[in-house]
Amino acid sequence: MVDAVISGIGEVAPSRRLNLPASALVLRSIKDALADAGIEAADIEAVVTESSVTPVLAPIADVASAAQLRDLRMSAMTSPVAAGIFQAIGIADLMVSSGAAKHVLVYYGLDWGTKPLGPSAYHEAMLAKSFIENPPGFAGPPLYFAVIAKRYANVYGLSDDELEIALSEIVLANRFNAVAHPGAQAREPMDLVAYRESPMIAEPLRKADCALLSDGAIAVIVSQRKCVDTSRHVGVRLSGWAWAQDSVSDSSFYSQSELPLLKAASIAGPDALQRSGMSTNDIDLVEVYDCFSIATILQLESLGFCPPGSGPSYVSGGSLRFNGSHPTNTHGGLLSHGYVMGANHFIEAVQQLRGEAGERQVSDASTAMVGAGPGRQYTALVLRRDDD
Amino acid sequence: MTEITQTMNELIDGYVKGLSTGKLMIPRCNECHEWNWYPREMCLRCGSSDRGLVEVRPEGTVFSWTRVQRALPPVQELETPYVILLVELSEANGVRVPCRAANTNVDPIIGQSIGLRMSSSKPPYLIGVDVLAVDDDIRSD
Repeated sequence: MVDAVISGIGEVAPSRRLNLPASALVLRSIKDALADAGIEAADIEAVVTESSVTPVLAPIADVASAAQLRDLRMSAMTSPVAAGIFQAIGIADLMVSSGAAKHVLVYYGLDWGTKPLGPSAYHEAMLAKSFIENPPGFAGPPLYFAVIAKRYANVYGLSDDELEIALSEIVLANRFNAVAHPGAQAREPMDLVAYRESPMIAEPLRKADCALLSDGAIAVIVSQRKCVDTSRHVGVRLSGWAWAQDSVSDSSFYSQSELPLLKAASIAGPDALQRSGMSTNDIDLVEVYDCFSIATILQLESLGFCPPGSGPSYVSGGSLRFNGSHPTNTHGGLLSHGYVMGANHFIEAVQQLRGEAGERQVSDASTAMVGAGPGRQYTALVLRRDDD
Repeated sequence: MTEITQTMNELIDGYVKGLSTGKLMIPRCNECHEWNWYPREMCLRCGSSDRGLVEVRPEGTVFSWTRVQRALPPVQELETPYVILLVELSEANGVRVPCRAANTNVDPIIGQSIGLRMSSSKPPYLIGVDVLAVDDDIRSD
């Protein structure tokens, strides 16, 4: 096994409307990641990315040519969307540690701020949805998570008020974290009064419970340790990862799966920890795919950070703030940092572990779990600082 | 060579046609009798492609619900608020159908029994009717 390290990261900070194609954002983030790693475009030997949005918005062939990846010898696409982006990082790590490539690039970008129909259009493309779900009006991702939230409250005996408080804790902690992040998209401070003024979309979810719409991009480089100047940054490595899926189809997940436990996350999380030789107690910070506030609770429970049904008490008292007892989505998450489909969560975790998170730095952060699905499939990554 | 008797598209079509003729037709595997919902190309349990449509009684229990205050694409034209229910069918174990509640103002109760009827729209959809709403219908007739 060759020793692999996350040598470079690049990010175009999320923004509501950059009026640039996703491919242009991707190229900028690649340039930044190469500079961060201290290597040249021609050093990249392999590229990995997700397989659903990227083949349309920023296909490997176009990106490889425009970014002048002249010596590319291998490329791969993983599963769709967020879990696929994180799986791409896992596979990049496999490529490096197996000796197949010295430097592997993972990139992702999207322009769903400029083209805000992205999330709905993604779901609408599924045939079963257009004939079974859309006619009565069960359409749009917020509705899926609204019924999950109602079901959650019923299963665990939460009153409407208790559910509202639990959701607000997540939203307000995310916003608190985003206020401390210069690159976050939503930095207006928010309190409970402001949360309650946010317009209701689908009960119990308000606009503030829903992910932003963003343009943005990220790039990550995984390298053989001996091929990079390790004095540039505190070294961060992938110490374990896992991907798992539920057997239900993508189209039926939100109405037919055994909620509120997310089966794929409940497999991937413990597997990734086991492969790292760690437990949830060893994890200093968590970055999870918070497409909606309730999704954070579902994942914290499914990954094993708190028992099923205890999410509301786990997130209470501002515990998810970067200076709280369970730092989570320390950049503001999809709700306040931006909707770069969770790819931005990985960048945040690396910055935290390098100690480069500035005002929002989690003190003594040396391990992190980064996870995304959240539904049919899930990828969990465990990151570790070298000196840990 | 295997003869594929019911593709996913045919099963979805059968569900929609059923609703338009006032019947709730749910796909089921002819081999292992597992309900195949939502329809897929092969049975989720046994892998058979031999499936049929079975008529079930239009009633069940509320699995979850939401009141929609802002309709989103692709149904942004729908008048709000409206209430969406996921209803677990009594005669098709584990099958949940999305439907719209007849009564927008009453909070449904998870676990409560609910009747279903079919809209006359195109494409048709299921409407959840609680006992009160049915009474209202009778009185208004």
